Parts: sequence; structure tokens; C-alpha cells
Amino acid sequence: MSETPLTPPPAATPAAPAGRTVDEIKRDPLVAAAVASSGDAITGAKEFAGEITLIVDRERIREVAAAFKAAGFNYLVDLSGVDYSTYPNYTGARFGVSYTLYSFEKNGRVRLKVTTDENTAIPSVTSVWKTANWHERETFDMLGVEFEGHPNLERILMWDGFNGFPLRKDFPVRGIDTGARIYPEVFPEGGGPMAGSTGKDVKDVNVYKGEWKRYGTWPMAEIAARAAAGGQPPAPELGDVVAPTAEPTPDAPWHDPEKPLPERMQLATAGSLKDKLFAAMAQTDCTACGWDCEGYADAIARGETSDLTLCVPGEEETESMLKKLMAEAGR
Amino acid sequence: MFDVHEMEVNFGPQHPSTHGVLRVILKIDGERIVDAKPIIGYLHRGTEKLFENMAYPQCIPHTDRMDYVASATNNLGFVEAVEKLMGVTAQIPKRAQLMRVMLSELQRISSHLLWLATHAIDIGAMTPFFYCFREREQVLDLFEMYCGARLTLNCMRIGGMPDDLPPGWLNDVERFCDKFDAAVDEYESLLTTNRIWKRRTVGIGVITPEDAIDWGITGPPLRGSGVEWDLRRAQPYECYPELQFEIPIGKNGDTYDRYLVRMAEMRQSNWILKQCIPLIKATPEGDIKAKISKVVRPPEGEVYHSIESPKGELGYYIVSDGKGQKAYRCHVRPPSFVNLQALPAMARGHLVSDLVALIGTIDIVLGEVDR
Repeated sequence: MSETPLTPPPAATPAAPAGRTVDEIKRDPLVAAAVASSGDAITGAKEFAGEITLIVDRERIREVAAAFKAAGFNYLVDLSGVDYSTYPNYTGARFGVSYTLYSFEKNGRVRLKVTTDENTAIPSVTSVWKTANWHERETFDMLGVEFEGHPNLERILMWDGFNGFPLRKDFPVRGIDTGARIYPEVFPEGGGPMAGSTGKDVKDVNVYKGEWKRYGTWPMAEIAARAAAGGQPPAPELGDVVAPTAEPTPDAPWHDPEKPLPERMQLATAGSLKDKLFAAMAQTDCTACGWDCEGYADAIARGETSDLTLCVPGEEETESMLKKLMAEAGR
Repeated sequence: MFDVHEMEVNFGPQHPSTHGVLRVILKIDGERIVDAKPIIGYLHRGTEKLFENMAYPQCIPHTDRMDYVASATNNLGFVEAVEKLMGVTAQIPKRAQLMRVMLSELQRISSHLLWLATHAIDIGAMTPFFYCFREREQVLDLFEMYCGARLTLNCMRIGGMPDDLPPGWLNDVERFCDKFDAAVDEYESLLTTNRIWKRRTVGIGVITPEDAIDWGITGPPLRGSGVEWDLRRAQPYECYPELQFEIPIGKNGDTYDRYLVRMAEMRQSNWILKQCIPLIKATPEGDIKAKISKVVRPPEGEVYHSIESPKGELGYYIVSDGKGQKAYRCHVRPPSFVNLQALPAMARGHLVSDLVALIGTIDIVLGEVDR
């Protein structure tokens, strides 16, 4: 076998000269026949790095795909989508979907492109190429772009019931809290490593201690707002999360995260040790320690925990005040 | 009428023959497969999302972890796509091109050896496993000499290569090449005319050329169906136009032909390696990097670039907004993902034990399927 002569490589399509007009690109020998039979469904064309991209009317993509297949592009190489919502100076519909086609006869690739938004489905091309099936499922799974006429449009990489579309630009890179709901008794919703933990100590790992309302959830509204404004989604710190329960009450007038520590301590001077400890907390009810603020104070006062370092948003200030109070109480 | 003989069973995700975590829901009538539905995603790590959030050079180690038994070709596809985006493809020095070709051909050999070892052991032939791993170990040693890693190589950079070849590397490659053809003969003597092997593979999972193209199948499964198409020849990259090699093709498109194609491909890769050695000795030492900016900041645009990975067409579709050092979107077109899609079509009507052979013959790596 190793003695066989060299077969000369077929000439690849020569790189097209840059800076051609839309009409010149459409007349390129690679695509001319297919473009002619697609008529006015092709609304634009561009060229970059020797690759031709044809912009296609969304409603007529299936028809155009069939025309290209008839013209020799019988291999659908790739189908994928792009979320253009944070693309600089972009004004079109949110999603772009690219179809990369290859013709064995002409040995060349062409890209068809359609745009759509969250609510408008694209006609599926599974009836033209069988291979489009999984590609369209993946695009739906990752971006939430729907394909009308697909035989089985369900999630493929993520699991059924997953909430969100990971490749949308407003989906946080760090992921969302899925709560590991399949084993609620082992992994309570929001369980996981402690905020700000070093990972070196047993206490860095959360153990479920009752109601977990907000720990580990993501401030979705804020993420969406920042993404819409063109910024990076924030990496939420638990200390920034202020629960709606963080409101002053007649029993606990100091329970207000806006008040500075000395003022809170002033309000609690007449109270019990638990009240003083409660006033020293950051008052956000963020539950990073495992309780709300009152619960943590109560746990310290009753001796349930002796760890005074768990208040993440209170930082150094709260920790030293807790130590001082405990020292004053002789414990 | 409701057929009482049909039942649904789960095949995987932990079955040893699924080469990772592939789950197939089988509808069977006795031992015969009526329908199969692959369920994937168990190894999904959001690689494409990560690509959007790190600079281009930082993405290269992540490409290693897609097809983790053929990381050099993953690196190659990515760096070439970025080079195409930047328009610097022509500036890559000859020595770097040859090094890339050599590493990818060694990777093709090691990937095919792993395929053969596991495919044979799935079907029941234990012995080839030991022979294949003997040679694969030597290839991994060569990788280790070059870049320090054996599996996740991270061995290419945008614009060239990270390091020149270590002293003595070419001699070691030469020594390996001289022995390797005989080693392939040895594997073939165990399997090619083996009656049990032929009974398990001939006529199993036949796929016609038209169907193969319609399903988007590439790589050895496409060539096994008799389509003479290889991206190294059809859309040549690096210095493949200067190298001689044959494109082995099959006739019947069954598991046995795909086996023969891969065996022949290993010999072809060995032949390419032998041609590279004198060529690379003629290039100046140390000329391994194009003179391009160290900060990778491609212009606005989108490219699709693909290479012939051991498993088929591995493509990268990169959209750059021209504003920063990160890709706006980077989609990977993994060959395993597309080839696996045809599994139900290939499996219908065969026995459950043939499904094991079919999963092996597609040569999937789930890290690449799920990304």
C-alpha cells in the first residue's frame, strides 16, 4: 500500500477577492445556481476570510435549504446559534442561526444565516437533512430558539426540566442554583459550600439547619438588568443579598441593615444578651451563617454554636463586637 | 395491536461498553432491537460558555478536554480557526506546520489504537488490547517528551508552537515508525481473518453512502461507506498538500469495513510521519512561531474552520465582535456528536450484542459529544 503513487489533491475553491459587492458574491460560481433558484429569499450576502455568508429570510429557510441541497450542497456540516443581545452596535433580532453547508462536487462551503427572536420559531430543516435533528435540538437547548416542524424538539445536553438556556448572554457563567432537587433529603435546596469559605474546615460546608430561603440563589433581576445595560453579570456575593425580612420590628428596632453598628448597639442596650448579639449582626438575613440574624444570635446565646465568625456581610466589625459581648457576658 | 413481546430497557449510562456515560433507551423484541434512542449530556461541562468568557489562548487547554484521547487535533482545529480569523494562516513557519502535522498524526495513531483496543475488547477479543496499549504507550511517551503531558497536551499556540522539539525526539519518532507497520500487521493477524471477528462485524450496521452524507457522518465511518473524502485532501491545511498519503475507503459500509479503514489509516499516518522527519530536519531550529502580536485580538467577523480529526470533521465556528480578546461565540462541531446521531438507524434490526459493536465502531468520545 505504501508504494502507491500520489493522487493530486483536487483544486480547492480559490479564495475570493475581498471587498466584493452583494451582487458579485451572489454570482460567485460556488453559489450562483442555488441563489438563482432561491429567488428573493436571500436578502443579503457578506464575505469574510474567504467564506460566503448569505442572509436568508427566516420564513423561507426550508425552501432555500432544499434549493441548496438540489444544487449539490447535500452535506449540512453544522447548525448553530448566536445570541447577539450584547453584541456591540447590533440592532437586528436577538438570535442568529447559521447553517454551514458543504458541496462535495464543488468542494466548497457556504453559510446561510437567519435571525429570530425569543418567540418566533424558525422552520426546521430536518426534512431536508436528517443530520439537522440533533443540531436543532442543541440550538434549542442552549439558546431557546424554537424550530417549527421538528419531530422531537426536546432538550439534549441539559436535562428535561432544566430552567434556563445556558448560552444566552444573560445566563450567568457560574451557573444557576438548580437545587439538586432529585435528592432533597440529602442536598437541601441551596446547600453547598459556605460563602467565603476556605474549604479547609468542616464548618465550611453547610449542614442543613432548617429553612433555607435565599442562600445560593442568584439575583436574577439584577443580572438581567446589568446584562441589558451591556455589562458583565455580577458575581453575586451572599453578603449583598438582603432578604425582605430584614425590616425593623417593634421587638427588634435595630433589625435594619441601613443602620450603622454603633446605632444598632445603642438601640439594644436595654435588651438581653441575645438581643445585643442580634443587634451586632449585619441584619441582612442573608442566611450565609445557616440561620437568619436572630437565629444565629439565639444559637450563640444558647450555646448551640461557639463560632463567632460566621456572619459574612458583617465582616470584621460584627465579629469583634460578638467577641466583645461574649467576653462581657463572661463566656 | 399492542405487541406483548416488545419491551424497553436502559442500556447504560454506566455500561462499560458505552465508553463513558452514554445511555441508550432500547426497545427490544427478544434480543432484537426495534428502536434505540441515545440520551446524552451526562458529561456536559459548558465548554462553549467558558470559551465566551476567556481570552483565546486560555481556551486551548479547554479544547484538550473535549476529545480527551485526541487532544492534539482539538488544539490544532482551534488554533487554526483563530489564525484564520486573524488572517495569519500563511505566516506559520514551516517547522511549526510540520510539528503540528506530526503531533496530529501521532495523535491519530494513538486514538485509533485506543479505539481498536476497546472495540475489540467490547466484542470479546481480549488480546489486541494488550498489543495496542503497548504501542500507544510509546506514542504517549513521545507526547510526554515534547510537552510534558500524555493526554491533555495543550501543545499548540495561536501563531505557532510553544516550544521547539527536544533533542533526540525525531530519532525516537523514527524508531517508533520503523516498528509500527509490523505492529499493525500483528493486530491484523489477530483480527482481520479471524472467523469470530468477522461473524461479529461483517454486515453489522450497514450505512449507505447517501445515508451517511445525509446524517452528516464524517471520518472513518464515511470512508467505510465508500466515500473518498478526507479534509486533509479536500480542504488541505498546514503542509498536507506536500505530503503523500492515500485515503483508504471501504465497500460495504459495515462495521468490518470501518475496521479495515482505520487499520489502513494507521499505516497511512505512519507513512506521513516518515515523510515528515527529513522535511523537519531541513527546517531551521527554533523557527516555530509566526511574528504576530502576543495579545490575540482578532478583527470583527465570523469563521468556520474544520480539520480531519481521528473521528471525523472537527469544526470550530467562531464569532468575534472585534472589541476584545474573547470570542463572542465559539461553537464546536464535534464529529462524535454528529456520528452518534446515526446510531438508531444503524442499530435497528440487529441484536443487543451488536449494539456494543456499533457503539465501538462509531468511535465516540463522550467528552466531545457533550462538551
